[in-house]
Amino acid sequence: MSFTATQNRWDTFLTKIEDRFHDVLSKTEAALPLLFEATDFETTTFHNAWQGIYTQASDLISKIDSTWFDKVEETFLDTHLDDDSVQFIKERNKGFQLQHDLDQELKSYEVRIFSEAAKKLLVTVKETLSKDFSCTQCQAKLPVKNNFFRSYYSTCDYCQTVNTFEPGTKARNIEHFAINALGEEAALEHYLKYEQLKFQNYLKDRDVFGKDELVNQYRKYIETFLKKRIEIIPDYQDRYEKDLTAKMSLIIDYS
Amino acid sequence: MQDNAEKKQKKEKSVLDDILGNAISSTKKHEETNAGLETKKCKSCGAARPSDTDLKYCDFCENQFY
Repeated sequence: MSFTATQNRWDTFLTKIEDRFHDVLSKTEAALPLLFEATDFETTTFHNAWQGIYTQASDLISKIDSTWFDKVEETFLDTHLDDDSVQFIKERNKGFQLQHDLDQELKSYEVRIFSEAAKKLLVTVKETLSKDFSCTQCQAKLPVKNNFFRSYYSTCDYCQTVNTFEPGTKARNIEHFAINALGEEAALEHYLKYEQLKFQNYLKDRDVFGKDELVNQYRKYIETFLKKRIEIIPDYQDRYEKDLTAKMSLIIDYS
Repeated sequence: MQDNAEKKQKKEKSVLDDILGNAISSTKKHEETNAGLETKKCKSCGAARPSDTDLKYCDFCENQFY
């Protein structure tokens, strides 16, 4: 097969992967919010559905380098290209670049889909918490916090009875599901930039960006993520430094 | 040619439907708790727990709460 014919087949293959990826993910972006509402904001079903889609999309992305290494690389070399020639490297990098772009887009889809669901959940929960709640003993109105999503004691000002306020499953899911999604949304651009820097190192096969630059970029991502969490649940302010250290240790100590 | 495109479109749609259907049918449903208030009451005299008391003994009849 000639170089041009091989190149055409490789380009067609990459275009098909990209089209299929966007087709699946755009349909998912339309369908998952409907599923979330239909299950009355049930987060486990939502997570399981996304995990299925995520696996499909990841498998699709991984087909790019597996196809390159299994078939395409050899076919290009059979056209008498050297494996260190500019043309060969350009064709190889086309695949790596698309793989990286789709990984970044998959992350963006994930963050968008989850944060939209989180916003809907937050609105519903705030509506619930803004309703009137009464003391179980004297029925006097008892004020309820709208930015705390765990159970807590509340003393009635009139009869001094200690009431336990249970915010309910949906409100508890703000902490288990929504704040993470909204934090990721706020910090997405920093995360994508961090992955972009790492990819440049991988593509050039050398440290174009050193460890300090990578750590600084990752810190921006984590700081933005944690500050968004505090905006929603101010109680997290007390553990900000501890959370920052723990999350940064992932790349400082293990990469 | 058009048949193939239709078949492909159906297959792609069914993959998404299968994943969503599977997630709905296979996820274990737990009973949800609604938002609300409750008060710990003494089993002996029925008094509610007043402010600044502990959960160990009833402030009125000294019966053990737990």
